[in-house]
Amino acid sequence: MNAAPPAPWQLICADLSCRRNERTLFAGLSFRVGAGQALALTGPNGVGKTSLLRILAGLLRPEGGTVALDPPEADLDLGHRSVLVGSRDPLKGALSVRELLAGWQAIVFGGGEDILDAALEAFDLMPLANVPCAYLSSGQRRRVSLARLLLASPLRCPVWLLDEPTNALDAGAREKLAAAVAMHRARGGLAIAATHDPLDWPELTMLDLGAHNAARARP
Amino acid sequence: MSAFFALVKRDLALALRIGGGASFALVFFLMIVTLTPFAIGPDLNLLARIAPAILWIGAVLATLIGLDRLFQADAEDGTLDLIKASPLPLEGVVLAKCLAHWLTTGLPLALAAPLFGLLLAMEPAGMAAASASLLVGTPALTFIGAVGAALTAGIRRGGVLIAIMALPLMIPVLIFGVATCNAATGGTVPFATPFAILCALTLIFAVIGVIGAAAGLRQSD
Repeated sequence: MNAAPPAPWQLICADLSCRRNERTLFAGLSFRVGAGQALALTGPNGVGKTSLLRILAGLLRPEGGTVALDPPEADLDLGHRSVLVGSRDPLKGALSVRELLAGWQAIVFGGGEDILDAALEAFDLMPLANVPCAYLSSGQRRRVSLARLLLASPLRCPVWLLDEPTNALDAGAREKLAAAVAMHRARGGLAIAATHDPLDWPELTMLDLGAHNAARARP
Repeated sequence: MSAFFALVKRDLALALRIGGGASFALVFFLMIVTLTPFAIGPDLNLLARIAPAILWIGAVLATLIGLDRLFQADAEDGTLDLIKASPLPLEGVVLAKCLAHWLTTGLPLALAAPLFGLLLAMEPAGMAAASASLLVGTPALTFIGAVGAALTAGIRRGGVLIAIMALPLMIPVLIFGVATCNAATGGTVPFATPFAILCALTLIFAVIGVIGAAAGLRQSD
């Protein structure tokens, strides 16, 4: 990747390949992302962006290749070192925004009330805190999903995996997302986003899976 | 441990809110128990004799209600992916969800059994035995169903499949549940014998069900 300040750690993917439903989505994919960096995955629909993110989150086993943190982590696998915000919003209509986030915090991340308040604040969700999720618009639902990034401690979960993070977000919410990502990178985390929208994040590295596949197909 | 109880608390809250379906099983149980006397007619002796069987068949069928949503609801909206990142092992997740399901399904059935036994002309000793047998036997039904629920988490109309997979495995529990009730109101074996076997079945299925359902959830990707 580009010349970044000396990174204390990095995420290394070597020779990754992925098959879904008897079809090879991508193969021979190698890249590194260091602490403080951001990577945008692009490419046409169905090229395997979401599958790649799920592999990085430890939810999907790659057909071949390895994903590792360097220096390696002995005690935790990558699923516990990353936060994945998928394309679906895991909201429960009957719970209020605050109850939902407090539940995620207790079940997955741990941490106190102040972290929860900061996460609500960062995505401007305070006015909606007591509204049941069933009444939220799709942009508001997206903001609730993104707020869980801030529930995880950057030390425990330095890897942010974002699948179409800007879907349904208005201009203000996109700025808030960019600010959250910038803060995370400044604290030594990294972000990988699959996207079709241009992201105005500083020093963003691009990885075009479609171009990668095309380059491999050429003899 | 706090993650475990947070998961139980969340599932209970979801079940008790509007659309959660915590009371569906109990109402369904009541329906089966009320329909039977109409079908059989006013023969109180016959009714009293088959009452344990009716209560247990009602309990088995009522347990199936809500089982199809045990993991499916979380698999559909992506919550399951999030829960998999929890420090709690998947077996603990399954145990928490089974506990929440039992608290809203099996436990109300066991507590309501004496009242429903009244509708079936049961003797007091039979009612107490029915309640006790349902209390220790219904967790086994939940654990058996959890394996089916985990295997069908990604299937849209998985409810019928769960019934087909789980009902045959529930037969031993049904047999010893009814035997427990019958032993309390006379019969050839002492009450403790079928009751102890019922307890053992619950313990066995608690282990098999939790491990099996967790394996099923790991498989689903």
